[in-house]
Amino acid sequence: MHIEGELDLNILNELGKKMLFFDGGMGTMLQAKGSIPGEITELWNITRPEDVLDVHCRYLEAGADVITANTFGASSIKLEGSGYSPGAVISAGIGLAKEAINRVCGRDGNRKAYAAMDISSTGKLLKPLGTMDFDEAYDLFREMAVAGEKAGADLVIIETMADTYELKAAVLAVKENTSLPLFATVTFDERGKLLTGADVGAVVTLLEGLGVDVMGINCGLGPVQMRPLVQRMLELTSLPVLVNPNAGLPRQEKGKTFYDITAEQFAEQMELMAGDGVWLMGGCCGTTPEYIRLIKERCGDIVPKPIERKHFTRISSYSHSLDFAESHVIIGERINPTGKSRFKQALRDGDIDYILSEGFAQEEAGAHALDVNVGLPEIDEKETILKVMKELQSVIDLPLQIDSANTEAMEKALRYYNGKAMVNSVNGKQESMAAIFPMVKKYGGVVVGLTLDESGIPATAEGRLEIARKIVETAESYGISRDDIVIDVLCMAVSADSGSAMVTLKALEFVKQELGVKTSLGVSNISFGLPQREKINSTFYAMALQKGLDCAIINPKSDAMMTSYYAYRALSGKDENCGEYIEKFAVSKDTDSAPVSAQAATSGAASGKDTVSLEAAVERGMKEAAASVCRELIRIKEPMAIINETLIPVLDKVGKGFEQGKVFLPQLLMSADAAKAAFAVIKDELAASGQGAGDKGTIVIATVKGDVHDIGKNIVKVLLENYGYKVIDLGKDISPEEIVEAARREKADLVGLSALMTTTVGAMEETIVQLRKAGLSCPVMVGGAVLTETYADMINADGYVRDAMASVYFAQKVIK
Amino acid sequence: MRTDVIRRETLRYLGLGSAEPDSKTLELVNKAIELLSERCRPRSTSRIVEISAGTEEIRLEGGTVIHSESLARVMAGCSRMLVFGATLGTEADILIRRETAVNIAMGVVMQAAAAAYIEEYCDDIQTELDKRFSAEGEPLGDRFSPGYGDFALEYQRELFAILDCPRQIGLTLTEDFIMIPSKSVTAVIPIGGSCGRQLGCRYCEKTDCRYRRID
Repeated sequence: MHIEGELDLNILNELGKKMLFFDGGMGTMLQAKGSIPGEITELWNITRPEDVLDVHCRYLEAGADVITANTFGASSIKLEGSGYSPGAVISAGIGLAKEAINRVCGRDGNRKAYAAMDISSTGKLLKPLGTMDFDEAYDLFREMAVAGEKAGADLVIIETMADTYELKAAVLAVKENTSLPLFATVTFDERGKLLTGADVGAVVTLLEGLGVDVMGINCGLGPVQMRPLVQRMLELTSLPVLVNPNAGLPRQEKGKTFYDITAEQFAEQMELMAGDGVWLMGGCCGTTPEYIRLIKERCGDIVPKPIERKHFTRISSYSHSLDFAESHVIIGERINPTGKSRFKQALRDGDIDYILSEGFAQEEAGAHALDVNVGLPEIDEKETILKVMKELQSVIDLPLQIDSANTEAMEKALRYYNGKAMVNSVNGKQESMAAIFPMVKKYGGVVVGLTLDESGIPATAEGRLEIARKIVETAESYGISRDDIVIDVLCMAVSADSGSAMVTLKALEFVKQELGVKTSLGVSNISFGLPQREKINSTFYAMALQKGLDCAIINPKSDAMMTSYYAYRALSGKDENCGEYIEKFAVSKDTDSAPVSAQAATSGAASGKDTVSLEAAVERGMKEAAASVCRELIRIKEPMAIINETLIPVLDKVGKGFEQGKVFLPQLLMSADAAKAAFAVIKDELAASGQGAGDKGTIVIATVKGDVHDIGKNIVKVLLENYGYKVIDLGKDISPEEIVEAARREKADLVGLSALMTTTVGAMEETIVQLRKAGLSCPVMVGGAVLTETYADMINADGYVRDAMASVYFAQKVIK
Repeated sequence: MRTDVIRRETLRYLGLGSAEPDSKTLELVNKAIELLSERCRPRSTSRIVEISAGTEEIRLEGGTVIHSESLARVMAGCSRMLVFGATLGTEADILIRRETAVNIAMGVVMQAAAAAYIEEYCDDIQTELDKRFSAEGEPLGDRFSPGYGDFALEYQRELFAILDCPRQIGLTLTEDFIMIPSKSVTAVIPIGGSCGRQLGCRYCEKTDCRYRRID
């Protein structure tokens, strides 16, 4: 006699003891029962419960151990307007799954089966690519997960996820709000990537970091196409793997979708994957109870292949993961305000584009990851690091290293990072370890451990080794593997103590030998107080690499450092056939530091001449030349004179040409870019000498709430800046409140609003209303594809600007 | 994909029309097209829906009604239509964002090239689909998108639900009916019917549009 409660219903206790089987497609079965395209079939839990129950029973009868409740898209965003709440739909859905289990398994007292709460994507893209906040997605998932647990689900499966960031929100929502076992599977395309670009390594690294119980792949592909991806996943992860493929690839015939693999062929492929090491399997779109019956028949007696514990040190970005064993990792150090006046200015002004450019330049120069430090006394570090990190992580392929001494900022950054980050840093002080390790355990991360503690930095290599040991052992007591620790034995200025370099190298060697962990160094400290620091840095870098340094925080834009890197790899046999070295150095590239060749290369008209005037460089859109000529010019001419006598007149000339249809938009913008490069030189000069840029006025610009089109606004920004205005660019999808706040805070002389869609012009009108209500009298100019003079009048804008030049003329008119 | 068509259309979007581009503009355009073909993973999905077309509206199986005279004209005589969606994916948006931060000229060129690229991709897919349907004796008409004529943008919601765009091709819709990734197309295409293919902008009432194209 079976009594419920006697069976151990924690599925985790069964993993690896026998193969476990999931059910097959739910949508496929409901379609056969008459669902129509676009219908919210989760509502069937309430409106047609017998049909849903029947599907569950048939899968159980076919041999499934886990049935997936019909709660896939039961989020409040999808159910909006349906008349049903997620709680009701989910509770009914879990109820049906459990009822099916009782019906089918109740007959056999020893048969266990589990009801899985099913969660999938919200169907929205997260910011900044999309418009949904991470927290908003989190809340939707939390509501679902909590309802699932309350209704008695035995586990949660997050499935068909196609974006790592949304996946992270879902995993956190389930882990933080339920105590259910958590399985997560994602959907790759035929190129082995999620819709938003992640490869298998990125997914594995993220999910292991977050601590799910089982990971896997479902939907998108049939078992044949999926297998290589599954093999890659098995190669990388130490967690059990679940595979739920489609019944092959879809094809349409007479309006119906068919899949190209029979149940027999499907089972054959699944058997191969069981041999590869998959522990749990089932099906997705196109699969039916017959498919599940056959895989159970073929694979039911297979003994799960034991999982081998892998040892990788990996971090990840939205797109890929970085394995520390594959390279001598270079972490770019340039996103850091220390000693950089221009960078400080960019942080104060919220000039994200400048910071992004610093990131791209380092990526191009060969960095593998980027350090992100925004610590400035006068700014809110927590807020700023989130803003900068969210922008960087959405467009830069490289994983990030979060660099902050502010533990609150660090916690937030790790939570909102899209991937598994590098954490810079923890040290041997109890207080530091107690603050940092719980975060690393919770969010995942590779943490840099500095060998200093309450008594300071030990003078000896042995002393630093002891602190390293303490860090590693303490981390392990928090459940953090030593694979996730990178020790920095610290380098001290050799100018102050001539033995310091040798102590560092010795400590490095000890740590590698004794603790077997990866190592990192902030190399440039070594040369503090010496002239021509690069010479010391690059040599010391090579010496440290020889001692086994795995990772260095350096300036990848420094030729000397990169020369050490490539030369070391070639000499140490890490660069096969010296391929990387040859690729890097066989043809020397034109760079900013070689202005003459750059000019020749970018200017057909100036060929044969070694010099070109600043006017000509700007007019012809020669960016490098404009910067280098300006660099020369600034030695003999006042910065303000260069602006007023050269740059502005030539911009006027090009602008006129554009008005008259003689110059086209790309040319206007190439000139603007060239002028911007020249202005950058002037700004650097002014910042270095402690002068302001002498702004003509402050203009706050934004793309309004709901709208994500910002190219027009970005053009306006570049042109206005070139004309000497300080432009505060708030970005896109900006609420009226934020615009009012910024206009007040910055004492804006003018506000510029952009909207491209008829559906978002309303937000523009609302913004103007709120600006006026707040008592701000600054003029407002508006622009965007759907706007007209008449409409601008109607919403009480002060000016309609049809293009970017018009915005300049308007600014000149209203700001005196 | 016809690169020459993408190039020509990109230049047209940039306002060059039939003007001869200078060598630097051309260089940027070529580079943009190269980057897009290297990095983007265009995807599309389609689904046949039974309809009955009136003069001011069309009715879809399942009960949805679309009120639009211009759409009713396009669908005249059809009993089925194809609902179609395509996107260049987030890669295109990332490329545009990256280039804009570093070099606004390239950002704008990338934006135009991506717009031309998705159109050409749709044309490609549509030609393929047309072959299949023509073989069954029912050639496809032109694609017609929400926002054309009086076919209101609000109907995006219905098209998205029919296609399950987020899951099928990673295309999402905001509350304000903006598609993300931005370089995307949704449309309905008449199957058979009397309208035939009339490439160009002749459905559109905005006859003074500087981008108007009548081939």
